[in-house]
Amino acid sequence: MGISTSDKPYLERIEDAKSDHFMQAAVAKAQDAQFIKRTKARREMGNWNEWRDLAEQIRQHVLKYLPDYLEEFSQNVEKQGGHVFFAQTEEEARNFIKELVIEKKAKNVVKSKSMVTTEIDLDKTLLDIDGVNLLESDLAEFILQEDNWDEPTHIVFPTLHKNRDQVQEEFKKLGYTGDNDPQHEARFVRGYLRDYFMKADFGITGCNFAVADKGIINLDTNEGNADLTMALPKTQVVVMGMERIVPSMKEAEVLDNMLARSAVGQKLTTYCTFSGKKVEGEVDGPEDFWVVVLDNGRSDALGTEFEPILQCIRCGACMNVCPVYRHIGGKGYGSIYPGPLGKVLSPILGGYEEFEDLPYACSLCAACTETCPVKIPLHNLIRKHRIVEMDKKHMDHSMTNLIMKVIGMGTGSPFLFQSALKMEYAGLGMFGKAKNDQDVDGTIYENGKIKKLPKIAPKLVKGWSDIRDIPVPPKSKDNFRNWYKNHQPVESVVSIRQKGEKGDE
Amino acid sequence: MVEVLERLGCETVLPEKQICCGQPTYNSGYSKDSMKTFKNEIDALLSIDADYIVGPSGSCVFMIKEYKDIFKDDPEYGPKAAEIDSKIYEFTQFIYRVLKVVDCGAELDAKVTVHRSCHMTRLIGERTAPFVLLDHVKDIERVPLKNVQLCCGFGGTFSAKRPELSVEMVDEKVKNIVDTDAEILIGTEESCLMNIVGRMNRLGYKIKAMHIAEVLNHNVDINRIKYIKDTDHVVVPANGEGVF
Amino acid sequence: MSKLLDKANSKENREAFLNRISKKAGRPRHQVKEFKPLNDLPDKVLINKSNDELLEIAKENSESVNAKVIIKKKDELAKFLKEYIEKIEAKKLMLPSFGDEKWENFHLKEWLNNSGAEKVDYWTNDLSRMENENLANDADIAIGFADYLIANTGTITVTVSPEQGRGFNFLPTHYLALVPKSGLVPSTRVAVENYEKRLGSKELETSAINFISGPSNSGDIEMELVVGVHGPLDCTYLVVEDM
Repeated sequence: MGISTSDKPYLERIEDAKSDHFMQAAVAKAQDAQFIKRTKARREMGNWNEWRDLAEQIRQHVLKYLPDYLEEFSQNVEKQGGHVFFAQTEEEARNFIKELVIEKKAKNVVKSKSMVTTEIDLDKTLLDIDGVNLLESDLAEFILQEDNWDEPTHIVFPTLHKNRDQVQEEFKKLGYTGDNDPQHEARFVRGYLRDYFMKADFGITGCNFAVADKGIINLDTNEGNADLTMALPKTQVVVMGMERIVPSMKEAEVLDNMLARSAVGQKLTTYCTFSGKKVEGEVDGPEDFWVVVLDNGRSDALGTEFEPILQCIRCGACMNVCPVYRHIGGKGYGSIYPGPLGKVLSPILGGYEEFEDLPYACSLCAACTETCPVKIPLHNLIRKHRIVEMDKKHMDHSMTNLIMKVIGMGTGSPFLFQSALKMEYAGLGMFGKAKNDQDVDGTIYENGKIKKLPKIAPKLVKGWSDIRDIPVPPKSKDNFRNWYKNHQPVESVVSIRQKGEKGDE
Repeated sequence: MVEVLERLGCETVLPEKQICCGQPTYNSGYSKDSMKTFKNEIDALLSIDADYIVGPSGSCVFMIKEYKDIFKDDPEYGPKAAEIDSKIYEFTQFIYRVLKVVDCGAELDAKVTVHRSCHMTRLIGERTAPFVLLDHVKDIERVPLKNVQLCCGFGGTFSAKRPELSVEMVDEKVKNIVDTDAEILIGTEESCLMNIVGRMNRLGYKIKAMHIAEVLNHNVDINRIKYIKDTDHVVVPANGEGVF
Repeated sequence: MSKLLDKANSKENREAFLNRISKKAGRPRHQVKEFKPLNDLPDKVLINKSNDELLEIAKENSESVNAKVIIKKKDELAKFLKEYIEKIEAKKLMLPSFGDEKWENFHLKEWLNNSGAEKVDYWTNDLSRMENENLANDADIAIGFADYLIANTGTITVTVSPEQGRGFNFLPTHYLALVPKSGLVPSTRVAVENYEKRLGSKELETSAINFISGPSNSGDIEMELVVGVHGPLDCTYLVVEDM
């Protein structure tokens, strides 16, 4: 499955999402709440745009010298006695971790939240091993696990589509007898998770930032589950997307601040940890420290106009401002990476064939671009995907394709355009044009607006008129160009004032 | 727009060959098919030796500003695009920041609410000028629009190509507008208004819509026109509202 | 070890990967230049504040993340801690196994014998990993030492050591950290710089540095904040004024 979360076609996914009114209300509420928190946190920081410049610079610098920083990082991990494996594909990554689990004879694997392990479908792989238990320890991921491995719908709030009653029902199966108060639900699950943690022998974490010059990783969580995952099991595997690297702790620290303010409106996440292999004399922590560095299609963006998407620090702010995400939630996207980030990243990692609809599911309002803490021009990259799909891959063979080509021709040539202007009003005749302003009843017009078009109307026009009225274009003689030609300039305040000044002399 | 600008002392010219900024095709992914449109627009706009280029749509204006990136490697059109970029303004931005006018002398005795243009606020970065100018219109009562930052769902061909998404967005916008109890919806972008009004009509809401240029041209008393320097108005930066 | 696992740390695996991505990027390897930040905003955070102002800011920010801040003098610590333990009815106390000198510094040597708890356990490498973890898991409260208190974010920082391990900071039900007022810093930047220096000079050797801002929490169920999901249910910073 990889990053794909659904076998359904795009329109079916959208209709499913639109019928889930709890989800829609939950997402809207979350977006509105985050809007206030995020804005406040960024204002308090001051000079937000200059902080963004710095964060962008850090990310671009790292991408520019990515092989060098990965080399430095891996050498420093090795120096401490850790191991680094570079995986080109998701198969390589999950097979490697599977073999490691078998090699270590692990029984109880514990994971902390990591999008990249979802990307490589790690859970399913490990559960297929005989005698291996697996637990997602992040509260939201645990809820998904208990709901028969439901898919996440947000990269920061994976269970945004679920409510407290659904959680209560799930927990009942584990012996929970309390009410639907999230505080009570969470307190119950704390004990359940802790018991498992105490016997866990193999920990898997993601990585917010890998610190090249120290060979350590930096993780941000609010729950502290990543810290327990790094404390209790004797073996730790870190799975990281290859771009998730910073030169030193100083750059990590800048990004940690930006991430927390952007993702959850906090100044810092509750736990922000720099961690590596257990040092001699220490009691706990990973005696065995492994890092899997994953490409899995990311390098297809390197050196291309899509490279900026690799600047992403996975804060989720773009989905928190996206008006489309607001209405369809994460599931509508059919990718574990939803929202604007997903619209750019999914076709790169999963291919245009599978995700060709995503770049078009966007009004290009640029709210994502404006909020991105590392200044990824998200809406512009979405548009670039469209250009790849149309100009390079020629993926649209519908009527729309022809219409666009005709518009391109018409708006590129003054002669054709002028002719079209004269034709436009007359052209509406084929849909039953009103003969005069009163003659609207019984036709497709009402109050001078076109109500609904016959089925033969081209798809684009129908898409518009199915949900809204079409304003009737002005008659040729009334259009702006003709009005402008005939209008008399109005009286100017400047000439009046100049006259006045002269009069004063 | 023409009358407002003329009243403020501008001589206006409409280039004969000027047609379209090219967004409909370019934003749909047809970059090759847009090139002719872009070049025609550049040539048309430069066919007249104007000091400034002004448009009543932030979205079109930004598309034209983007030409400089699109043609950056083109020895002929690159410099032309850069020249255009240096003198093009959205209508309200031009009045407030170039002409330095704070009151256009208009009057509108109505309760209104304002829909912002996404491209004007986010891409051009002008989120202040329309509000300043409107707040100086005589007798106007402006009610804030809830979630003003949300897109109305127009998005060019998006509105027609993805009606299943667009309808959700415009419905929320319509609801927020209706909730303000305003008599008139004012917009800075004709296309957003066409979308919102089209939906309001379909749903049976009778709220009037006006482009901001129509408001600033409404019942004007030329003696009421005020320049910033004539008032104690402190110029608000483009990003004054600081909404993220 | 299997063939696949043998690939970790192998030159072939690494070089093939790095050469491939370098080629795809169209940029040769080994061109890296030192990162020079385009502005110094991180260095300027709360830069002109006095120590007293910083403490006020730290308090405010800590409280906003549900951490309690208590400010005491060295001589008041023993009495305060004893009363605190009794107040929260903590029976089992876990302490780090630092030597006498450290406790004497904080005027807490005597308190160790009269802490207010029924049972005191120490996190120590004299015991096995599992014994330490079980004791910490059973403990009602851990009282440990933090290095810095960061004003701008309401954060304390803790480094892992043989005496105060990872489980110590995360397993017990309640958590209290003593932090000398001299460890008050304006920003995460200053704390990180200090750590980089100490790690570089080998004065500090640790496998983990924890920046902790309040108790464990989650907003995963309907985005409603719940406290105490994995780690401690509450978190107290005890600032020692005269250190």
